[in-house]
Amino acid sequence: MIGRNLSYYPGCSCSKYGTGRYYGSSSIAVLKALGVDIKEIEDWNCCGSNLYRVIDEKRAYLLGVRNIAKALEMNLPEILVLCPACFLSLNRTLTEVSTNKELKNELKEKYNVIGSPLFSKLRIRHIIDFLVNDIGEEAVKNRVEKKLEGLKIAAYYGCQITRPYGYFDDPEFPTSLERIISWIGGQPVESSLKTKCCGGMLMLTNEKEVLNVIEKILKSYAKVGAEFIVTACPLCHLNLEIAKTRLSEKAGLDKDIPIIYFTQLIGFSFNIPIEELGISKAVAERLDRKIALTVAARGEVNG
Amino acid sequence: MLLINQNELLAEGNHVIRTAIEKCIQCGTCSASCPLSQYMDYTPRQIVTLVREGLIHEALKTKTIWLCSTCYLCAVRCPAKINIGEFMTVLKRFTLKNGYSDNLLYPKLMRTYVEYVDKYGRISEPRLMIKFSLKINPFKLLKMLPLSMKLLRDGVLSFSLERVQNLHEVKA
Repeated sequence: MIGRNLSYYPGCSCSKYGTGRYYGSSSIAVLKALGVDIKEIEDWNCCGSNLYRVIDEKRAYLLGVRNIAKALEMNLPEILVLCPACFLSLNRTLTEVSTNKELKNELKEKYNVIGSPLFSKLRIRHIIDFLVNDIGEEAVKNRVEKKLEGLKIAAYYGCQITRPYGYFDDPEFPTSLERIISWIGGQPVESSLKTKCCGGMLMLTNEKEVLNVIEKILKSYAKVGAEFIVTACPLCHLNLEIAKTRLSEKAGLDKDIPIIYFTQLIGFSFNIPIEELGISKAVAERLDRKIALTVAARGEVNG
Repeated sequence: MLLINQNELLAEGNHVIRTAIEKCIQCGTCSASCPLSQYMDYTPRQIVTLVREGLIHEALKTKTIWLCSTCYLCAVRCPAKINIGEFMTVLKRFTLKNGYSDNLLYPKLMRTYVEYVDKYGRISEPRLMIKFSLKINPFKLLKMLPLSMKLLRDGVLSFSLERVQNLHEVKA
């Protein structure tokens, strides 16, 4: 895997000043530890998400195409993406430009690379897909320095990583993150609501309804005994945090449960400094304490 | 009242609208799958019926289309392979074009978002939230205090925004 190159599209949330900046920094650190070199696309722009296209579909595609063209200019056939909204949006743009001849011809005049052989080979890769299907079990396991033994970790995928296209996993019941959790020594626990939508941007417009939805989600995680929740989407992450502050009075959910990005957890097991990963001291202590307890309990059994 | 007919909608929505009109078997799988359907005035299945019956005006006035968060659970479950999430997106776009929804919150949020992208080429979530809250109800900002404190403690609250250098490329 050493020497593998991809271009990297951080998107607004996972970039330097975004709320998901540590999803970004931890992903970069983890990939570096695995020998993967990613190069940020220069002067990238917002992907337009699912919002821009409601106002102006054509311009939304143009936003996506500029990013794709900039990636192709780097002569790298794969773009690595973290944010599911960016992932969906770039994939949709790629599909549309590949199938809509009129649009493609128009864009070829603007960006030469759109007509190049590299364009037809281009793939947009989500980091989960890349870790599970390209890096693989052995390489991840070999890099683990601190096994997350005894930790009951539940993944929350949210919606748009696997939907509507389901590129690399089941659209409704994906298992990639559970596999990664077990590779780093954790014990995956699963909620049946792990791909239930968090409400996304509706948190700002229909807060009451969205909080009700997330309450159900958090309760389902408490029910299966999750001790840590890992996320793979900056918006899901933010919404779960908002819900935790608002639903603290409700019964049946764990209002203290730490919610971190799955890449932060991988980085922790790789012994990457927590400052680089953006894991707070409190969460790191909790992780360490739990691991120490499991190890001690096993010692007693064996002794 | 603007009179909208099915043909205008069909022209807007590529083949998604046509597929929905021709292929929907009214099984209700979309409504049952939707995490937000219980808060909608019409279920997604009923929206398809309205459009099929030519009651476009009624469909565009519903709360439903603005409660769709495009999570696409309906789309992957639909036995007739209709992308209902996309169907809703086309209805949203059509509604805005025809001036139906100027006082609704979600279109305001989208416009704020688009303004940011057009002006800077990128967005800042905290700035977007604040600008949107100021537009609709400044008291909303107070409710965001606990979260802001939490984000501040985690070191992820920042109002800086790196703008795109070659903004003319984004605008062109």
